[in-house]
Amino acid sequence: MVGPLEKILGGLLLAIPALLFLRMFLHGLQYSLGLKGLLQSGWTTTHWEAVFRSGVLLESMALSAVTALIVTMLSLVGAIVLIGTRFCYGAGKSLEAALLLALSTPAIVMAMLTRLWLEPGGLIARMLFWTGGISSPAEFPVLINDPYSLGLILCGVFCSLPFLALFFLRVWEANALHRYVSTAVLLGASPWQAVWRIALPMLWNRSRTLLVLIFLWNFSAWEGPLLVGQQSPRMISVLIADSTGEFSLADRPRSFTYSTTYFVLAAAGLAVLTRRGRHHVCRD
Amino acid sequence: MSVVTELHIPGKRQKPDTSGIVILLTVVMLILAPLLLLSGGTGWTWPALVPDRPGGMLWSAALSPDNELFGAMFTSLLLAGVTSITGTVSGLLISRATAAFSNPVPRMLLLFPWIVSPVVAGISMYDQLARAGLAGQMSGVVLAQLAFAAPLSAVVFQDLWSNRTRAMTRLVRDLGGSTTAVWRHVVWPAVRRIIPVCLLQTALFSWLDYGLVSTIGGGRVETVTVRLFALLREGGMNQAAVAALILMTPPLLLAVPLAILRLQLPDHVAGVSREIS
Amino acid sequence: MQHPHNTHEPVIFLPAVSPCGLVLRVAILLMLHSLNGCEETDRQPAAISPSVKWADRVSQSRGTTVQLAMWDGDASINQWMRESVRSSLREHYGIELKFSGLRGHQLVSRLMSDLEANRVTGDLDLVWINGETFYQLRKINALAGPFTELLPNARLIDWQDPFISQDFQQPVDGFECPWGTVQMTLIYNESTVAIPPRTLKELEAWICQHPGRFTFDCSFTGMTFLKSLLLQFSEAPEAFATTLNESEWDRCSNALWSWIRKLRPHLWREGRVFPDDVAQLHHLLNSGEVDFSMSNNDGEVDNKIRQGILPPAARAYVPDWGTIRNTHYLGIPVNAPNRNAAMLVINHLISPAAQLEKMNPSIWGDGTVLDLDLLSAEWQQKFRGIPGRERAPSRTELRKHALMEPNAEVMIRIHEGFRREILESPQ
Repeated sequence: MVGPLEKILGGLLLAIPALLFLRMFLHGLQYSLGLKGLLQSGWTTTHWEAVFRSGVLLESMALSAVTALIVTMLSLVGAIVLIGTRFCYGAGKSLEAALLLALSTPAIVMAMLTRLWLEPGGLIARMLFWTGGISSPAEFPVLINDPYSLGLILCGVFCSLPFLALFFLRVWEANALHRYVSTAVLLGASPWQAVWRIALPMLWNRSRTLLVLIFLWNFSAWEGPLLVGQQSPRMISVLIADSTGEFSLADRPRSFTYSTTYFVLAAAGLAVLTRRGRHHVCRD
Repeated sequence: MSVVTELHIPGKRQKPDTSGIVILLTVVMLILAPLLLLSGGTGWTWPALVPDRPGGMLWSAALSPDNELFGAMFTSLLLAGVTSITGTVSGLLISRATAAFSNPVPRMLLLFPWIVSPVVAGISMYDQLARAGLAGQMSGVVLAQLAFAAPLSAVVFQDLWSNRTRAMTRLVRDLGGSTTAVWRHVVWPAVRRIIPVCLLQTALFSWLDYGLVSTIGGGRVETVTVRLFALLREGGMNQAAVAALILMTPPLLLAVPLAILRLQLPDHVAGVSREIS
Repeated sequence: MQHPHNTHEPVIFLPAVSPCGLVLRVAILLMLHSLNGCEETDRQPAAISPSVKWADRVSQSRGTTVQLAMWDGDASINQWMRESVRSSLREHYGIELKFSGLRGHQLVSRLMSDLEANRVTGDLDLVWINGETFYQLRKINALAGPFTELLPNARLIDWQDPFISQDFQQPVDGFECPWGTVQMTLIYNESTVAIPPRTLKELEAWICQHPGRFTFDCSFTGMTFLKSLLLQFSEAPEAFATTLNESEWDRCSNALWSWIRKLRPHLWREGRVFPDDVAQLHHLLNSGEVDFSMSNNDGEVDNKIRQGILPPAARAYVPDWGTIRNTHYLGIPVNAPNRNAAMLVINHLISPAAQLEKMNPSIWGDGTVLDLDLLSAEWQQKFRGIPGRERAPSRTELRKHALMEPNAEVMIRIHEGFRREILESPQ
């Protein structure tokens, strides 16, 4: 189907990102093993040992994974609720317009807005002050930079939910899922059973790859964790970015240990994604 | 009213879209209102709800040609333009080349930029781009963004190369057609509707990028996102609100017409199957 | 072997590899090969030639650009630099000044990456630095120099002042040029704090009696505050001078971390979170979440109130235990593309006119590095006639409580220790 010249051109163009990513991984690996760097003196595993002994990286990965999982699950539930609103309460095109508007908000702006609304000196606190709910910011609950990552989770949900909800709407329409639901009802199922047993599993089957993607996005998130996340432990992207500029030059290889581990995890995540993707490729 | 009744009877008079309108208004209030409020003045001392000194001074300053934000807009536009065109063309060619692969490695490579943090990638890529003399240059930023944009668009194009497309290609070749004929009669009709989507997608990626431009650009390539972060570091929430609205403008320019288009469409019950827009 | 899906494709004589895959593999092999043999490129020499005449430097710099890396966390400083300084450089020298926002440790990381990548010509011509940043840049030979003696205006600098000639206990040796002097102050809200605490004990008592109303940031300013406390725990502050005394460091740092841990439950957010930088701390004071902020710039309260960043009732003061006074400097990276123009910019910034403008509290309020006795009577009068501060102590008053910066290594260790002992340890 594809001519040799097209293959060569395509291959060369694919080689650009391939080379960049592979070299960046190898550079980080070499740095973390003491093979590169101005102040390094040759092969050593001390940086790797120190990193895993300190537990900072493991804590960061655990926090990133748990936060990403919660965001993904909440976004899924939220998207299903919105679909229900669409079809049970007649929320029509306005809902889609709302989702498109939310989708157009970049992550950094969403993080900024999370701060603006939820910080103790933020908009909600000020409204509460004027309505007599609180008399000072100290009385407002801690919702950002908090130990439970509430603000961060909310920010992540607002970023992911519109995307997922729009995807569900499109899948519903494109696959005419209502016909399956109608058929089930005609055959004696209650509307709830039809939705729970027919529509939701069909949506789930078609969205699993996307859900893995949303998990991986949130795992790697940077803007939200930077502005509204915890200071310790930090999400993985923030940890890596911060550690490259740590004060002690001798600790610089540590940041490359973090980044190398992160890239290995990303590749593992990709393996899951591509394995899942192969099962769900639809061709004419 | 049951789900089935709503879905099942075309032409039945629909309930007013009250809940949808409520959700739409909520989204507008949550996102646009605070930014517009803060950008409409300077200072925001507790417990004021509005800026201490209301006025349009920040907007007139931001839109003044001497202002860094004004210059940053043009840099962002230029980067977005170059990245989107090169990314889309590259993505098309890459997707064509990898279409025949059953090997998962090219597919993994294409999906890698979707999940890797651009900040981490930028920090890790700096060394090799510095050695190539591209760090601190617009060209270096374009190259780094291309590493993300090309795979992004390649994934979008990938699903076009279906069995039907293969059959059409075989037919053209069997009838004596060259590669040019294949592109003219098979590839172009398949991709022409997707190309604007890819251009927009890659342009948006570049427009909103901070991680790559801040690390590879070395402070010499100043985009709207770089200015926004600088304003956040200054603690100037009012100026940051202005920068945030400017940053949202291109996505909004896409989303608002799409939203208006959806609002103006006839009130379809979901029972009617339509092309995905 | 023919392609299974297209019998009309040309036969390829590498049966296991398609053209696309072949290109990929060759490219990867080339890349791996190049990784191992990165050629050494000649770097620019660190020394700046003294034989070039100043007039030649001026003429060579006309029409060029200087990229300055600076901390950009202060809107009024940014505004002055971008408006006044940039336009006067354009007018007098035809130099275009551009800015990159980088904190000290980010700058060190950037220049270190450049040196590791053998980058002969970097992005930055001029860097705003001091203390531990200077220390680390000297360690990796990332600065060009010595050059300060080549600057015509350097003869006006008060080199006799130990706060100026020494940068965190290191002689500057001509590798960075003094630009301004500051002293740390605490800032409080006069409407909520009637009498600010003057001693360490009073501060402790105030924090305990007003839970959640005091904190400090994790950045340069907050760590400077911790340094001043560290010196209080020491019976021999000279132990932190030129050479760091390890046993004294261990004893005093443990005392410092214990002090913080003791007060932690009474700090803002119960000490679980600390503001990232001084801008955020000012924001907390402005939004009424805390009653104290702090600043390394003793003269900034007036202009911050004017900008709406601090509340109108904000006042600066220096506690009896003293605060650290230091100088900030300008340096030239070893791979700066435009050293001549960088020197011109530095010379301009240490000129009496620029120093005078910078010292105005409504602009920056930064102290001058010039020896006023070396200036003409006219300039002396202008300096003495600068509007006084309204909401901060006079410079004379501040100097009585000035503490010398300790060794640069102390700052590095305090940053690390704060993260390890406080941020990353459970309460």
